[in-house]
Amino acid sequence: MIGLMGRLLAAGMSFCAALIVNQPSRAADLVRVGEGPFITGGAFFIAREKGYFKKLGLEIETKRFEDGAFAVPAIIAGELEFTLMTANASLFNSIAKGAPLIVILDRGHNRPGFGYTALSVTQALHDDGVKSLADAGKLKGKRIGVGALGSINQYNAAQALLKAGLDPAKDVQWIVNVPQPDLMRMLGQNQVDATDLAYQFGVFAQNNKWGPIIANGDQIVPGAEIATYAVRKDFLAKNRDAAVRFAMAYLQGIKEFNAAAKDPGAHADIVDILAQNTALNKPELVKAIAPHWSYIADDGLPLVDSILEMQDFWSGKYFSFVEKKVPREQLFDLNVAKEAKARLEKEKPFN
Amino acid sequence: MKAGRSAQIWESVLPALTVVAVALAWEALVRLRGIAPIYLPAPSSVLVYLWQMTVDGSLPYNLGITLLRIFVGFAVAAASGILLGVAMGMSHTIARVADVWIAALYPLPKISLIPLLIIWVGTGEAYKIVISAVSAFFPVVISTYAGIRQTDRGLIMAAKDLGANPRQIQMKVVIPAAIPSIFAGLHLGMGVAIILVVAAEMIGGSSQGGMGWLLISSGQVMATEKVFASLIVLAVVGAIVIKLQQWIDRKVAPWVHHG
Repeated sequence: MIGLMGRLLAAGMSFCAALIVNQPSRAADLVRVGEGPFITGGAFFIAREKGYFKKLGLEIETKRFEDGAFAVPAIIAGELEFTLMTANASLFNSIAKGAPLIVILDRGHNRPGFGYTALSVTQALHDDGVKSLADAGKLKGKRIGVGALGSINQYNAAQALLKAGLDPAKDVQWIVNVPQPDLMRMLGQNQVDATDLAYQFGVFAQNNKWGPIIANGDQIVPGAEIATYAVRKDFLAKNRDAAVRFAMAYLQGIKEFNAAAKDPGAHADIVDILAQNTALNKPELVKAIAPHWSYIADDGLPLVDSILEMQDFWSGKYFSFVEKKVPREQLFDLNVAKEAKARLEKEKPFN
Repeated sequence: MKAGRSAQIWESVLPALTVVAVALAWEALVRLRGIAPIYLPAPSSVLVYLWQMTVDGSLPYNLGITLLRIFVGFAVAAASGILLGVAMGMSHTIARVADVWIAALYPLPKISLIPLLIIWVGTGEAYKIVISAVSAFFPVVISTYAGIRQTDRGLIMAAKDLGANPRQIQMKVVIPAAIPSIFAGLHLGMGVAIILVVAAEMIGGSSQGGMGWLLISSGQVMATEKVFASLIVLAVVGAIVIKLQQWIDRKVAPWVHHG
């Protein structure tokens, strides 16, 4: 009898101990993230859908923004902890004017072979001989459409013009403030002569005979940063561990994202996640534009030199969108990605 | 007498004083609380940008373009709106036909026409002038028609008794009596034309400039001081235009303002 009681007691204690061990040590940290329906956010979507954030004790609340620019005021207002932040003039001005943000992670760049942006021209210009980057000189006096002033698309197009010996401020007319799907149609209606778009729109325009792609972003400026993740400084100060855990889950997402970009056929689960969470919608479209999903730095580090070059460009000879340059240390905190990588290697939470 | 005069002076300077007081309070708030310019730039900083943008020509150039678009569209709306409103007031048939269209189209948010207009007329000047004209047209036509319809029957009877023919009654009695109402429509039309033209410049994807373009392009690169400077200019110019309209209104129909 005593033996039976003892065994029951032992079993009960083991059950309780197992319960205690399996209980999270504390409530999950809530992290509000601003994201958009873009494939450059793929690593985040993978980490969220596969439960990597949850596994590291983070509860993710995603707020969707149709344009990254709309997420910036939301994080400044304190509605988000993390946000996508495209590498554009507003990044530098926001931080220079006191936005409590710091860039911590890469969120996609134009690595050679993985270019996410594409420069397209009208069919008429193409027929007139504008067929590659070498012919960009013929864009003199033409109308170039981009989504926003100081955007990565304007940067790419401007660099293409510079390579062709043109002055991007004086030699062309910029058509701005147009959503990318509309720019695509405007190209077809000859309302713009050239445009720089996300690769999927470039391909769509090309397939519809609205205007062929003459160069991808990775051919214009190889390795140029497209987007980053920024975090609120006060969140980072108070919850550095949560920020590092966010980066750990994200790094795992990057690994799977980059692998799938190289061989989407072998990663049907990733392709499905990207189709469900981006404007591409259909797995076949996601596959069709691979590997032009952009590439995300394997170590998660933002491309500091590329971003600083952009800052120089926007405050330089041709444009004055950035009046006060921000020093490197005010723009970046690289230690979050580094700590995340070290902890990931040591703790191996996803193995 | 002296007390009345000082009250009059006080009344005339009070609006300006409130502007100065708000600006000072704003400046003090920003400085004392150390508010970053990304949230709220100090008025002194906005003034510096206002001056810079005036000197480099960007402000006068963009303001000129916007005003031109507003006035051209408004002129088209005023002429067509007054003509149709008068025609509706004079003819039951025209009123019955036009009323259906006005009832259906007036409540439509005019901003929703922007994507269609871009497809129909492109992103050039025509699109902004059309949006300005369309938005101003409805208040003008509705107010004109209402003014004509509400003409005092006693005035018409008196004109008839004095031997006026129908044309003279319309030209000498009905239309002058409708002037206050027509001006009320013009006021409303001008207000919505300003709003819609600036919105069209922001949305339309044009590189042709304008205050809306200046606002959105400054906002896109987080140049908050320029955004504030543009807003202040728009507010001041809007107030000037409305006051100018009121002045013309007083000159054209002084009897309405007596007393």
